[in-house]
Amino acid sequence: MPETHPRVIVVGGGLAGLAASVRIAEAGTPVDLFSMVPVKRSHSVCAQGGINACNDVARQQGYSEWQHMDETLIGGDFLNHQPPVYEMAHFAPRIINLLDRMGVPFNRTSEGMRDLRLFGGSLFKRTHFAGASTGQQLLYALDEQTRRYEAEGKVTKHEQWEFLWPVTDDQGHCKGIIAQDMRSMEIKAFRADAVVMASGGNGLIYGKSTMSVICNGAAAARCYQAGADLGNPEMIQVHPTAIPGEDKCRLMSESARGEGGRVWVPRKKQDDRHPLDIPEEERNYFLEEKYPGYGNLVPRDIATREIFWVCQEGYGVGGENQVYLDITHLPQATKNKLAAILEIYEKFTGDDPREVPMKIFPAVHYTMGGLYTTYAPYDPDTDTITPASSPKREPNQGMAFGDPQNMMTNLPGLYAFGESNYAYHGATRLGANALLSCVFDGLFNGLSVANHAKAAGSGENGTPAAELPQALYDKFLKQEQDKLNKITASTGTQDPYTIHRELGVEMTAAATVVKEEGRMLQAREKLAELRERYADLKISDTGHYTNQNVSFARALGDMLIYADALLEASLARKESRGSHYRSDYPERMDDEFHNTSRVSFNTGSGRPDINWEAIPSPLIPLRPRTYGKTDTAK
Amino acid sequence: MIAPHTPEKTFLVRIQRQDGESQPAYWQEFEVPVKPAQNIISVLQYIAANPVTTSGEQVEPVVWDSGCLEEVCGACTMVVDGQVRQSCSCLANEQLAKTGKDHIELTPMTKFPVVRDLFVDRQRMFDNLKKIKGWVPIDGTHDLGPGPTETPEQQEERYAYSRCMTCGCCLEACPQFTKDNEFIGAQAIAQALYFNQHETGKKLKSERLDELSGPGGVADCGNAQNCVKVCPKEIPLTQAIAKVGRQLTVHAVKSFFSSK
Amino acid sequence: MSTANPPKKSPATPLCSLLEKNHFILRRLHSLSGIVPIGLFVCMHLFTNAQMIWGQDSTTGEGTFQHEVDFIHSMPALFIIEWSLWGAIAFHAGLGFWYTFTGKHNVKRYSYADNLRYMLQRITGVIALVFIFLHVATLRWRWDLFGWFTPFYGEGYQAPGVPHAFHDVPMSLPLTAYALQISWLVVLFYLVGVTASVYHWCNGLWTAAISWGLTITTASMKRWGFVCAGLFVALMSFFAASMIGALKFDLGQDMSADQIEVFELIVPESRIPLDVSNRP
Repeated sequence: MPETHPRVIVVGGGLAGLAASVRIAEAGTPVDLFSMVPVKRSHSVCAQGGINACNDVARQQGYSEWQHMDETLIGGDFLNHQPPVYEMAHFAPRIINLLDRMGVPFNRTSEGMRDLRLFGGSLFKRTHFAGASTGQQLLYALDEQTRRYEAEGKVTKHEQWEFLWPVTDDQGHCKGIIAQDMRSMEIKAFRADAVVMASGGNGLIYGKSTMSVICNGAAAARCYQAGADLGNPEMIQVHPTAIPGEDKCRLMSESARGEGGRVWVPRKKQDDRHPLDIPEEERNYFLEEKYPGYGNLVPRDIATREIFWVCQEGYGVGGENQVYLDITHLPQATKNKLAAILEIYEKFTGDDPREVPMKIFPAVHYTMGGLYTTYAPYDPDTDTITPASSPKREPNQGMAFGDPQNMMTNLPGLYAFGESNYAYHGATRLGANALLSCVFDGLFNGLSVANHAKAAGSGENGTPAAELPQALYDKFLKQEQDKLNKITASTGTQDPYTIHRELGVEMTAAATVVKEEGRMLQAREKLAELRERYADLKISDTGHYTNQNVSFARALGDMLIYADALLEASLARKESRGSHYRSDYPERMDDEFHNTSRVSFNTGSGRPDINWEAIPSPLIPLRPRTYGKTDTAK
Repeated sequence: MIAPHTPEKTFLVRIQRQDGESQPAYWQEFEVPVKPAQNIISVLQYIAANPVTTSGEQVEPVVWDSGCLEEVCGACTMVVDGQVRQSCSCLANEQLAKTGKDHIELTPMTKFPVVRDLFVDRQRMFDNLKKIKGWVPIDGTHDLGPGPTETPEQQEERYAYSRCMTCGCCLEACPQFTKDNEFIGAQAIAQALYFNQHETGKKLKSERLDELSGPGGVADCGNAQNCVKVCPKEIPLTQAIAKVGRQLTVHAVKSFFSSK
Repeated sequence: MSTANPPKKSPATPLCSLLEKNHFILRRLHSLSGIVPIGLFVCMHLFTNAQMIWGQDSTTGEGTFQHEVDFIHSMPALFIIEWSLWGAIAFHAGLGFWYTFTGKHNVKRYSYADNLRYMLQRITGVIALVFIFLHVATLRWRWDLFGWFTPFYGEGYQAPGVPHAFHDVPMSLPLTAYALQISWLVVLFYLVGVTASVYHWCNGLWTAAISWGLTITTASMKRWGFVCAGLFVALMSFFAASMIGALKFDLGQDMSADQIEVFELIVPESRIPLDVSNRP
């Protein structure tokens, strides 16, 4: 079947990618959807909590979309731009309605309405949820709609294809991608007039995180090397209580502490006694001791830091990075209430948390930073959407609907949606805002992408992809083929899995919960060493079919480059803001650092260049982010 | 970094490997050090980093499929000691204790074409979702108000079905589902019910039932009920099959008397 | 995905196409044909046979069993019933055989009770088919299989060579008893055959309730399972009663003089000598 143009490529089949595919296909533009895994297996399935949106009940209690925006901005410590956050908060109720129509089994009240739950960062119930697997339900609903368009021939899925490089024409317009079939290892060029990166987070840079094994950030890192800038790459969210595993860290819900669970470590370093044999006076309930008021329920970032510090001092259980989260003393009724989360612990550790204290440690959870994007702020003079009967918004209240500029990276035609987009969460993401930002990107900004693709060939939008010479695509194809050949033929001494493990250990130690210059400079050395060793790679699988080894080794190179940018931005941001905590600069410093760290890849040095870009505050002024009354972290 | 020291305790992992669907299968054995709370995925990760068999042969790392490692994405299904399951939630020490053997045997799912080693191609499951029109036919993404209301009980039932992660355990264990027949299997039948139970999803109910009454449809179910026992999400698959059976009975009677 | 392509799979024969078109209805008829005509007949048949346990009057040769048999044979258009049954069996067995080979049992890997029952359903189906055929062939069509000539016809014997006076002599019980007492192999044959057939029907009832959508919850499947198991026990006790009746029947002592005469005429080389010494 001959391809119809203009068409759009979406890279990533998670919530953002699927929402984008649905919206773009609906706008009449055919979509090629690329994903490393069958889209139903994307990482979005892991989101448990819910999705935020103002609703009628909360509204009648005094809540509003404006307040949702305010919470998101203060949660993000004002590092997020206000117009996109305004738009997201105001668009959110429509998203919930739409998901509801798509058949998401949201929990219900006895009257059959959507039930709501209270979530961190708000005094109002504004979180919609579907059991304990809201992300899974949302992803599936969008997957189903995508399948519908697929059946109608409007979306073409390329599952188990890996994105390798964006194709840019002479003027720097993104006009397609190079991708590889992960089974046959065939590398191919695909033409498009707009490309959406919805490739998710990059937890794998930290070795073990709460993310899926596919979240290596390589796709974003490749765009970064191709000229797309990164925004705030230093902003990484850490969840205080995760179950450390051999293969990954799994979330342990906050409700364990909420119901009376106590966090402690043995007073004696490397105490190898069974936890229940350690008498009360030899236990250090460090959170309760330091924060007698809040005890184990201190805000998340404080809990995270305290747990981190106590382990850094060598008090971790068995000398390792883990502390006890103890619920063994709780009454049976409470244990029954916690059954669902206790079973997860038991399933993956083999230990019964009702009998033995759980071992937990903070883990990297979400990537707030990502590809740098722009937007067209709302302007009442150009607004043609609002009906004449309704009052128009003030300038900067939201984004211009359908404007091709929305969430476009600095490479024209290359967009970034979802977790790979830096736009919405600033320095910390609020709980249950992740799902919202992903769906919002796809649904609201999908039209911008379609409009950009349709405008190809007019004005300054470059030549339509269908008319570009094949030689352009062949050039990039050859670049990737050469890269692959080089990796496949590697005969060095360095095992990629070992380099990856060392990268993870180093990044976790230097750039997660607590960052400090000396330690980060050390990490900088280590990263340089790892990059050097990476050049001397040893590949144990030389097969030309479903070669995961080569694919991983290639992604490792991109992870090293992203890690470098993350670390340099962390070094350069000499303040503490949101999840970025510098023990040597513990205060937020708005005068110097109320800026986006915009990181460009220097093709000459292969290192990052950091530029600071001021963030306007057109809607609400900055104010201090105080903890105490409410927990504003996730 | 080569670790020369021998770990205190190890166990054996036998893996059935295959370079592709048309290639012959062969076995390899690896020795893996015992670690606490080690699941099959970390065992495979260890082997990937140390691809040396017990006979000292350096081999290509084993290929397998995985994703979330939390038992929600459905990727890492494989056959462990003869039983299909998610390998991420399978702890090595518990498995060894269960079988009483000194080794664990990993084989790919047998009902789907092998891509390589433990990696199989489950496209048939996704195609089946297309066949049964597994979606709610909404009018588009425009703001058209909330969806239909439902009672908490209805939500609870639909939620159970909506947790299906397309892992394929039900199909692997099903004696009626084979590589060369067209039986649609418990997964797609339960999904058809899921959509038939939604107020808007119902609009496609008779099309779904027409599909499910054809060859490979619900009637091919042999009621062995393995599906419900191996489902890692404890989805009431046999109830779904029975409920679709009821819908089909009613549908057949209705169309006998009223279809043109 | 262009429509110009020929369909992926063209039906090989008109029969295949017919089967595919009517897939659902055939499946349901298959289920129905097993339950109603065949199953109900088997129930009745077993119930009738169970009457053998009451024995007979050794002077007249009359008894409950004989009475029931006579009733059946007095039914009008018996041949229609008989031929419909054959039709149902052929239909049920033919499709059943085909369906059996669409699956591949895996009890070794998944040794759940339900899975075992699934396998047994298919095995017992085949056993039942063979059993029913041999049963009818020997007792109804009087095939001389294995040299066991065992005529069985309740209204008396009307073969050439038997005097007309004997045509109304009731022979049901003696001949049935004789057929079973010839060898323990026959008893075993019936034990296996009847158990398989009864199991096949009862388990079929259980699965049919799911297939038709009668039992749609796990609890109702369980409840209906108890009912089906109860039916199995009841039918098997009918069978036990008939076996006891046939095996405890004394060929000779319990027979009337007329019956002995007929018996000696039609079973001249009886391998069970009739002991008539204590007869009054």
